[in-house]
Amino acid sequence: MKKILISIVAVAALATAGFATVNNQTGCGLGSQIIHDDSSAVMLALQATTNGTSGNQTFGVTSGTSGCKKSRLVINERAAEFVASNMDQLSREIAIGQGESVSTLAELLNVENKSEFASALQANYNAIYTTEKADMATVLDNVSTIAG
Amino acid sequence: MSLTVHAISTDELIPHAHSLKLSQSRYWHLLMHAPHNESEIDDDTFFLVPDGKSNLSSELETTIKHLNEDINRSNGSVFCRFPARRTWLESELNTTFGDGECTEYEALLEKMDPQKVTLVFPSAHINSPASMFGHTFLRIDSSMESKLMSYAINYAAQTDETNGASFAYKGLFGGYSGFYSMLPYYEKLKEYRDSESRDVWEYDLNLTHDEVMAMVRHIWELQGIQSWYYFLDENCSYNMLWLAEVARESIHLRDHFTYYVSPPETVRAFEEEGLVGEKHYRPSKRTKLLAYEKQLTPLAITTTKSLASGDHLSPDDNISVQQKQYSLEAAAELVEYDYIQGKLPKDAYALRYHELLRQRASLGQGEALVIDSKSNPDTAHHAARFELAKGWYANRSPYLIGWRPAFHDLSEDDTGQLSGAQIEFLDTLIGIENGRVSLERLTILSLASITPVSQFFKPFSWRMKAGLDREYGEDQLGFVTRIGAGSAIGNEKWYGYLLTEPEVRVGFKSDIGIGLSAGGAINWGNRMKTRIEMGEIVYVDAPHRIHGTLSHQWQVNPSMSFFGNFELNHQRINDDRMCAGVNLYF
Repeated sequence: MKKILISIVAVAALATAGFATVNNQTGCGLGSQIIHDDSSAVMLALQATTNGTSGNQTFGVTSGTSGCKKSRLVINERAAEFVASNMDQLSREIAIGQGESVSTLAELLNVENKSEFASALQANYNAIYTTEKADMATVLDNVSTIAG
Repeated sequence: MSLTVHAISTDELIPHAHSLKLSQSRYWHLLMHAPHNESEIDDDTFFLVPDGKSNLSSELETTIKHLNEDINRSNGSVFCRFPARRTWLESELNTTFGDGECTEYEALLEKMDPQKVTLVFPSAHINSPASMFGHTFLRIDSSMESKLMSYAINYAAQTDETNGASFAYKGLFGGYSGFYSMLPYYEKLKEYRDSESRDVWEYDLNLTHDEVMAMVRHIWELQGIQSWYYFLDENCSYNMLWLAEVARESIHLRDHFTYYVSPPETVRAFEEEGLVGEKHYRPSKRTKLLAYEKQLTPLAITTTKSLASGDHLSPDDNISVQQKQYSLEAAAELVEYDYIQGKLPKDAYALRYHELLRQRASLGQGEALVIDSKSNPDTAHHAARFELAKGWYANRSPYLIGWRPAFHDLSEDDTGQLSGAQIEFLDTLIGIENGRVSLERLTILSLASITPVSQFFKPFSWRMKAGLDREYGEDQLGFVTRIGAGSAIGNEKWYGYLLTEPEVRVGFKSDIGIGLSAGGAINWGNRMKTRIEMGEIVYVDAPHRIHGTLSHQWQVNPSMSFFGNFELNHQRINDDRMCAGVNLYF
């Protein structure tokens, strides 16, 4: 019973923190990836026994942007969430000029011509990512300026 | 209009429910997660009566009473917490419980926009044979074209355990709490495809919109609800089966399993129930980097590596634009991989990653990277193996009968599996000759991870085994524990390895040895595989032993294979063993 109580408390704690999990840890710029933690070879070998994850059990319908500066031009919470949580993947696909994340962003911003959008972002990479510290709000504002 | 319907009193509804035998109906059992007469859910908040877990009839009555009479119909009320129970009861009792103000649930529906459901299977990750069991979860797709914005519905044990033994024990025998969770699909991809580098397989399900809605209503009821997690049966994949059956009552996914639910087998169960439409493959980060290796020239590989390590700031001018593009892309992937592996601090990573991408963007559009398709995990041989063979040994010729509950060894066909990975539980072989029965082999656990080094990756290979065998001494049974490490070269088609292996033996005689083994395997295609290994072990208390294996196996289909193998074993005497037979898989 004690265990159940502890679990409930833990879940409640996680659930309340759930709306900000990802970005509180990683900021709102590059580095949104999950750091892989191999505690030991034994753990690795036994990893499948529970599919255990230690902080992921939330019912979060959002990955959250509460830790991030708001974009000025784009009032689109879903686009903001997506960009904040996918900075690394998105910047790489913008640099390559195509990819699923770029298409997703186009769809979120209601852009009709996705390949034109991707090419425009690629051509303006330096204007979108002015430095390696560019954050979600800046990226989103710059993207919307370019996509017009 | 609703007034007239409201007029049905609880006193009338409950007898009506009894006359329809609703508490004994299949759907009520599905909503309760009760295979028979008791729910598998271990959380008081899921039940409206204290004995609801075992008294499904009383739980049903109380549910009807609350739904019909409660004044509170806002978030957190019975009315809002149990939309699946409510919708089903309204339909069965031909009544309505009226309207509520379930703003949280409505907000979820609006955001989720549920349209279709997809079954997702992240396959094994490298250097973790245990992950061969895989994992499955469901994804609720919206009307968006992009699947990244879909929501993943996952069931997992919650643990912060760092002690491996305790982790395995509790995983197997209970002690961890399992919870359903919901996260954007892109977060799950970051976890499985990127962080753990597992190839991800997706199976579109043909559930109708009504069926999808039934599933979502039930998922809402499971928010924050705890059940004890059991690795073998009440695991991640098993708990997805309830959701699918709640969506479509006529399917019987759980009936495909008896004592153990393996994630790859759940994929097959979904297929056999006619649920699966299109299938999709998402290569892992590692698979992608290996595909870059294939495309890059040796010079471009060198360039890529020095770009990724930060030694050079721009690609060599002597390579083509296409190679430059690939080099910069691969270097960015590598830098990100190092960051994910914790080998590169965030600031250094961001700086290098940004610089590589800036240069890549300036080179414009290039050819998209081609990644070879892989064999789908649903084509792999089944997990449980029954073996029938005839042996010809130095001094006897037994008939052999074997049973292995799980899962895969290095000599078996790799179709749909991670090449070079092995995991076996309780592999047992019995010999029968002239009415005499002998235990030939009982492997408690064996693991192997033969992971070829490549231009970008330098993993080590290893294997371990604990169990009884007859390899030491003169055909006597002894217990051995062996752990080896080394290195391998090769690819999906073939590999070769070299391992040093210390071993400890107890039983009829205790001894310690150290061995060196070299071996390899070839996948011929057509589900044919040949494996060879030679080695020598030097013991403290016994003459050194030379051992060798040559085996060939033909996997006719996922359920059957033919094999022949020759084992050489020279210690005091030459005890060579041949055998040939058939494996049946279930």
